[in-house]
Amino acid sequence: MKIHRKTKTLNLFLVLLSLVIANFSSCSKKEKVDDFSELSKSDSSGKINNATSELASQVIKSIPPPVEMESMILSSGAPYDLTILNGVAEAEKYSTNYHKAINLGIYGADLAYINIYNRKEDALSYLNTVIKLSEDLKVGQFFDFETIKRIADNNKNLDSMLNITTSNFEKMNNYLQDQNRSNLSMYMLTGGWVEALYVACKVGLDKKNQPLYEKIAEQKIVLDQILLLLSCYKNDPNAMTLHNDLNELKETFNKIKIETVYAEPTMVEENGQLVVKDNSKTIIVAPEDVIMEIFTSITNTRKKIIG
Amino acid sequence: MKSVTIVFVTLFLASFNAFSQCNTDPMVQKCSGKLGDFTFLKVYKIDKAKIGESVEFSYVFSGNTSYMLSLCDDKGTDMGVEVSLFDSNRKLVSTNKLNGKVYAAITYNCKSTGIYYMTYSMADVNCGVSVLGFKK
Repeated sequence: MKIHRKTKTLNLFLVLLSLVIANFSSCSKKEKVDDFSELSKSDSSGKINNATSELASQVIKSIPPPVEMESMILSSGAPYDLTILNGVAEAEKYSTNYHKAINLGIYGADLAYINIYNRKEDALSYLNTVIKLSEDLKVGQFFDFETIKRIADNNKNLDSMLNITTSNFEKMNNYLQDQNRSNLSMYMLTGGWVEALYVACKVGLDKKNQPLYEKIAEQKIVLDQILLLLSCYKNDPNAMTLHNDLNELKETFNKIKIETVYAEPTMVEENGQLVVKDNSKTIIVAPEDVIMEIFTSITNTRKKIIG
Repeated sequence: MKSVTIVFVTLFLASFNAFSQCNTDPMVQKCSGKLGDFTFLKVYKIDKAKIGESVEFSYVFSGNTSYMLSLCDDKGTDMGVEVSLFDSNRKLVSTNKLNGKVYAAITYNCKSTGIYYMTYSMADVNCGVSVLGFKK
């Protein structure tokens, strides 16, 4: 009888303990926990050690999202042109995790372009594609179509939608790094940068827009960061192919001159806020023929990515 | 009775662990809201830095662009996170502490393109976040 009572107490304890563990593990990971076995199999070549992973994570944080380059496109006065983007129908043919992740970056950049031009219908269509690809990569929890659609419906402009989608991509990147799948994050960032640079070159050359040429030229610094990031994944053949392609692009970027003339910054308080004024100046020499070379090179790289 | 005690101890330890972890989501939301007409770019989580230590991030800043770094902490004062901004030559551009005053955000009107470094440290808070936004 005594033994029976002890067993009963022990069972009760085990049940309670299981409930506690289950409850707390689900609290600490709000995101949907999926079976990553299939993904990790195909991504195993992209796994990196902890020190390299930390470096990759730092470099990822330093790379500007596509929205920054693409905001210049609107300022150039160029009309909205959906035909320069990667068509949503193309998404069907991306079957590997590499193609899905890198094209998720491409579509993310396209979505930013569409949002900047305030085109709701196209935005929702591209958002659907982004959701589909992110679900395939088990990171679909960061995009809730209905919520984003409601935000788009309730706002006359899509500024908040732009902020939400950029922020969701950021969350997705952080999550992938936490999950030791930073190679997917690296593909997405590279894809996004390639697409934004391609669109900026296309529009810049069409409009012969000097500020856009300078923005393109500044990508010389970002390209160094991307090459550093890709070099973290030496065992990943896809990363190495991208590295080789972008290294060729770097040869062209080396023809661009960026010089800074330093001057002490000044600090002022404006409306209770601290405003720092940079008194240095950057001189950028970006000839049109070099921009054309960059366009040719990035078009070839993009063609390989979008297939 | 012994088992019940173990259950309670387990529950207590588990809940303590859960509370000691930093939930950055509300801070990210608050800090993003502070950006105003700046467009969201990045989030930097400052949960690794301990007292006396700092954590560094970098970002490629673009000329003729204004950036805002908003700062938030888990105590809600937004004065517990300190940031120092350095240019590509590691020259100090600014900090959010000026003339004895701590600012919860820095606006940087950037004229010189390059990689910049943000060094964060914390004072009397457990964790914080910084959100970067831009405006042309």
